[in-house]
Amino acid sequence: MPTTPTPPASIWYLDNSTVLLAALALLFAVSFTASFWAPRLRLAVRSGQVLGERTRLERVTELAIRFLGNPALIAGSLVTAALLVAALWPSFLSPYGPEDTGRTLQLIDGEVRGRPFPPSSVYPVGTDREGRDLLTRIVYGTERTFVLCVAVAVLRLLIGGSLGGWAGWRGGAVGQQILSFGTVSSSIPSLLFAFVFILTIGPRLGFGVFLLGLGLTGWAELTNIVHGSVRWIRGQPYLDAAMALGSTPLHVARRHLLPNLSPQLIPAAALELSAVLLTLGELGFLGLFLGEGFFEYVPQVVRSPKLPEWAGMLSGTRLSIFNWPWLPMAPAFAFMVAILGFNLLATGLRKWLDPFQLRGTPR
Amino acid sequence: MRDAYVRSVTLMLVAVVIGATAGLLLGLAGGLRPRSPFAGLASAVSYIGVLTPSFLLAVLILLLFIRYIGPAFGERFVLLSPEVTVFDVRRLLAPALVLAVRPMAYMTQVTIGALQEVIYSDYVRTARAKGLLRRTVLLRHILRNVAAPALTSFNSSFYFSMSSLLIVEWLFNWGGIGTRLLDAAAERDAEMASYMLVSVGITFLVINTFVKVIISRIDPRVAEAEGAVS
Repeated sequence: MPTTPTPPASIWYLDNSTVLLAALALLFAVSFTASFWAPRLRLAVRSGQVLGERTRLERVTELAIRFLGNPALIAGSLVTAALLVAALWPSFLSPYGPEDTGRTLQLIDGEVRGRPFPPSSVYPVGTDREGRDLLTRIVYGTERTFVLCVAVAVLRLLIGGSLGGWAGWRGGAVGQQILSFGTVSSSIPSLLFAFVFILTIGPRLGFGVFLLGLGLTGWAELTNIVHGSVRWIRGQPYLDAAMALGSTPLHVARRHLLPNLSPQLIPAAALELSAVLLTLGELGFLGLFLGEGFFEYVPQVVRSPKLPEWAGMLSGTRLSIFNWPWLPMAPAFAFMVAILGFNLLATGLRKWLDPFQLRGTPR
Repeated sequence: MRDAYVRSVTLMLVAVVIGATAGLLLGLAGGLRPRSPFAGLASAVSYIGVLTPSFLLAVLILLLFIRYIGPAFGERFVLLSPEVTVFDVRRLLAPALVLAVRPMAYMTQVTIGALQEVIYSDYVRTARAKGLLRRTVLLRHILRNVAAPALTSFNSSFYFSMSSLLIVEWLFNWGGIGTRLLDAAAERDAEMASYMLVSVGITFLVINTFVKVIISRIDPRVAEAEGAVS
């Protein structure tokens, strides 16, 4: 039975929003200032000593300055942390339960309204047609959306990494074929491929179809990155030395390939997450989503998915823009924030992991 | 079917041309004075603009037209009806604006990036030191070197406006290639889908070649490099 939500929702982060916003503004003001001064500060910490042992305090201070002087990394990791909390502990962030529907007519901000309820003090971003709070459903939907998203990114990373590694290490005709295969695959719009693939195999089959439909394209960029780096590393003298010493392939991969690949591969993986999320959102907008695996492209009968999922919340809202704009807006903004967060994370990680930055030369 | 093709290509051309022009102007305004606050604003806007999902943008622009622009002109914009002809500005403007944002942001990024290398280069400093007119330096030394990367990004704008095209055409009820493709996929009509895909592919190829020819006219280094390869 649907239960009645308690009237005005008390959500700790909305109640203290001024304090939180002020703290964030202060953090970013400090961070932007620090990003300007970071190289000089780091040199000052080192006290003129470039090589040789550093004390523990010096190392910790240097790490702190590097983190603080990287606003993109701070913003990206904040968003990622918020998403992790939402996925692991949704009841901490949400005012209601995901299936709470409330009464059909409610007195909201001094006005009697029917479903769907607009954004108000009771429902922070409004409700859907069944009267379920959208913020709650976004928070509860994070888990399903992100498990799929991370799985697709890992699949793309596996395909792209192994193909690119093979092409870069062995080279030759097979390597050229792999690279041109990648070019062909990257010329297929991934939204179109995912749409056709999932629709043909059947969206009702659930997770596996979505994983393959989204994961089989979009790996070409990773292949190119891995291919380029592996080829470059292969030509380095230290690798010749390692081979001459008789290192096993496993040792070479662990000791030489991975540490040299990770500064490029880790930001690329974060970018891949945001690209997958974008495609997932677009699929959802067209009516194809993981939820319960049903399909409502051009929705004649408007149904809302039972299990909360971002793409599912976006589906079937095309014609509600005119009367109930918050229905598509709330999940769309959730997608926007997550995509922006992952991109900022990628930008920040690229700066953090950049090996040439460690030298700490001021501009 | 020809109708759908004409509609889509018109929409895409209008969108990419609007976007590229606006992006070039924004990028030039930001990139020529890299220390000004406007430059920071331009790069922040372009960073966000590249990332905004097309469905969010479409919903926002549709709302803008319904709530503000329609009433301000005292005329109802014909937003979703499928009967109106292509060349009706009231119908074309909203979807074209949605499609134009990503090319604009991308173009701004590319232009700012290219200008960063060019304006601090030795030949620009020499040209300034020779006492050439500001306009001559801008037109002959700076713009000619920015043109090649900008035109290349014009090319790739077409490519990624294709994936927004599906969403935008479907949302705005624009009976073009994107809608037909989705319909064909939903009805498992392989023949229709392949016609559409091939026509889009050929269009991309033609535009790509055309832009590449222009680039090699502007930048003789490109023509030389390609001649050496082939």
